[in-house]
Amino acid sequence: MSFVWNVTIRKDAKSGGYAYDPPALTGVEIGDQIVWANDDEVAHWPGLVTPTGVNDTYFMAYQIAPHEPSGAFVPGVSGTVTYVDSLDPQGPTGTIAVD
Amino acid sequence: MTPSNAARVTLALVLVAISALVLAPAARAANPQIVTCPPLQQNLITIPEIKRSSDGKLRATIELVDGMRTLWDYPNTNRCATQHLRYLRGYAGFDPAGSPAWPSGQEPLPGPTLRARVGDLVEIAFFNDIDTQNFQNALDKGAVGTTAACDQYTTSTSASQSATGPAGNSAGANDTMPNCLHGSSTSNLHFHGTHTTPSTTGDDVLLFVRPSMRVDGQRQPNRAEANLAFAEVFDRCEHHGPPHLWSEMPESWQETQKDLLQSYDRTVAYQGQPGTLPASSQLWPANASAIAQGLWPQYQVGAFPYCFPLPEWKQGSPTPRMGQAPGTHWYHAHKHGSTALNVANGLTGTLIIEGQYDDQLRAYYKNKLKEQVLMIQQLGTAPFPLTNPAVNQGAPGAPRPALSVNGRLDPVVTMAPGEVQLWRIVNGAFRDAVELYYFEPQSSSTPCSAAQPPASFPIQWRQIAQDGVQLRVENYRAVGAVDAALNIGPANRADMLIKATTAGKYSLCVVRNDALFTQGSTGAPDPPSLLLTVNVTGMNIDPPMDFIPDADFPTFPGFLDDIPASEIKLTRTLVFGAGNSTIDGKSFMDHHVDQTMQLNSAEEWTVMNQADDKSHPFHIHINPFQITGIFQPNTPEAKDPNNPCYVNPNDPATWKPCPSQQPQAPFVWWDTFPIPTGQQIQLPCKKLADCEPKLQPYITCNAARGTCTEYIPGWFKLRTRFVDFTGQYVLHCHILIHEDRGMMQLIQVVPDTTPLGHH
Repeated sequence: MSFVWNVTIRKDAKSGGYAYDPPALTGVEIGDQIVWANDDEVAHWPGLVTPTGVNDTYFMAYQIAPHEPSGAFVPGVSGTVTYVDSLDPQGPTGTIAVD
Repeated sequence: MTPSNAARVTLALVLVAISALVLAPAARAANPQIVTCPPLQQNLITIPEIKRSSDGKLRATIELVDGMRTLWDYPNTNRCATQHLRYLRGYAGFDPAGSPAWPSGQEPLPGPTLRARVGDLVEIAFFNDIDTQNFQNALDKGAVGTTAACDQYTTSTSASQSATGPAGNSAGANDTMPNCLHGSSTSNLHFHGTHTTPSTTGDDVLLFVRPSMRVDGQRQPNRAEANLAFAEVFDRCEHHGPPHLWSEMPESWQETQKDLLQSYDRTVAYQGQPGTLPASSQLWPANASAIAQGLWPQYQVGAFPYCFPLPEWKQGSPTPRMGQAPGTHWYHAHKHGSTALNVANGLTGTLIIEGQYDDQLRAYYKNKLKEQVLMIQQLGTAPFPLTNPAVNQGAPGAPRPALSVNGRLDPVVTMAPGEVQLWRIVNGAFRDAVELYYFEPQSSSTPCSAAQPPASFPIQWRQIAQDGVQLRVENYRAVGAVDAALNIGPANRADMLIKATTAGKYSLCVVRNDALFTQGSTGAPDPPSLLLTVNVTGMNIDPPMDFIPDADFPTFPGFLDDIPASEIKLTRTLVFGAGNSTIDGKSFMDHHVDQTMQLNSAEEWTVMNQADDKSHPFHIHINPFQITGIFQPNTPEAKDPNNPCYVNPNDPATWKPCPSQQPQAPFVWWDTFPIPTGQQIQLPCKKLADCEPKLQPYITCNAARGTCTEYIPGWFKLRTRFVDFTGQYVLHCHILIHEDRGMMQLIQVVPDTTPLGHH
């Protein structure tokens, strides 16, 4: 351990919404850290997509304020997880693949 | 319009923008890229150096920035990635134009090497330009006394479950502000080893220099405005010394800082909501209160001007009582709660302060003594693997970052046959001590596989200085004997003469350890490992150079003569706890002074260690000290019932220093010294009253668990003088994660005179 991976939540001028950059994070290993940086003008709260809904505190305890970073999420198991903004569950999704 | 008025107008416009939160999206840097690791055995990087000017000033700009750097993983050093890291860079003077650009490569270099001279004035413009969006937990976000204020790591334990906990190891679940990891993009500089003022613009580690604010992509305070104000500060400092009061700072700068802090308080996010910072966490009110009391305000935004003297001692002059010792010192980030992480990121640099010592060495070697400045580091993005729950493999056996030198693993130092070089070694690792174990010819594919040093080394060494203070010639003979064992604890420095005789490649094998004993986490010695390679090549030096003889060894400064027992005014005892976060049973407390000393007094302290698994490296700022006695209850002699030095757990009368292990006068000067480990013995008794009466003073029982533990602390005795400078500063454990978690005390030196009379 450990490397720190960043996902930027960026305002998307084309759609008028927002996007994750990169939308699919690869190369991550157990014990690395993942941080979301919110470059948008509104708060976001990445949460885990599960069959029963969105687990909003899976990655972080609080929403991410505009122009702030999140705390660190440390994957402890391998596999691919999908996340979505808990404040906008119909919004774009992102994935993290943990080797 | 005057420059300061113009600056104020500019600032006012800028602050309108801040208030409206018109923050331009910053371009995000690239994600880590897994890359092929840099090859081993590349040449040692010479860190760019900033030298003093001929008028006796060390003028430098040091910038704290972030960018992509290539780091190796651990324990797998074959996995490497470029990733965001904080780092220091700098240039001479205050105008980047005309200064060489800082190396643009991705190697994780330490900050610039600073070279001053005893008697100089240090003037450093420090800028914190970290982009906080590139780092989690970059700013403080909670109130003192709460766990939520500490950095949080959310860890997945299964595909659908996660757990959130504070940073720290498994014993750190009770971490609370301020003794936990937090606010890692706020910083300051500690000038480790300097004897100077600990206040205002001096070696003031109680400062919090926040990252500059960004408005429309521009940093605030802007550089031109800061430099204009700092020019005034430095000019005043040259004529009148460091300021005593904030009101002595340029008025425009006072206003700038006030406005920026108020903007910060209004707009910073707290638990995901901008502009909701609790009143107790707001910065300007704290500064305003300090200023009203005549104290130096602790919170600064974006930039700070360091200005302090390196006092020169002169025989017969009443002041200074002690001078700045010429030697190898260093500087590093020292913001409580992020010291370990920042030093792990590499926020360190070497500070060489020259004097008569250097003059006489150069004279003897006729200016042919080549210097190598070697900064040992443990680079990483977490100050300890245990702060990362996903790789918590059990304390304290988890892997630690590899040891690098000047940003490279196993770099190559080149020497000529017959050459002697001066190696200025700084242990800038946040955690490990490094024992120089042996040199061996580099012939096998498994270097450093010999468990024991060979009978003779192909490359020889002699130590000539410890912690930036030269040895007396008597100690050069003993401590500095050829190839004498040398353990360099975290924060220790060692000046070494290195002598190469025969062409070839050689490995410098070291043993990482817990600061005093060659003992790893399991209690067994760690195996030797390779620190660097020496390539002896080229033309022979003729005649060959040799170690400096006793007769020519640099003259020992008079102010560093031994402190006699007759000078001791007070004794006191400090106990570093069995855990990793207390001294005298308490963790560091904001606003509380733990020790108070009188100016111009000498004291003798017994510094104890209850831990049985690590030698907490004791460090005190501003004044160096001498070790005059040591008790080590874990040596083989202490464990052998047939040895006169046996420490019998059942007989406190045997808990005495072993005569053969005592330091001898004249004593070596240190500023960091590992406290010997103690013994901990689990007793059969369940409550104190049932334990052996004569052992009861040394026993702690846990009523809830029904267990009793006997502590036989290791200790050393130091003598030091609190001279020349009043003020508040700190002592702490230099395993920096311990300091961050509270193993630190605030101390104060008070005046020994008063303007008051009583007739």
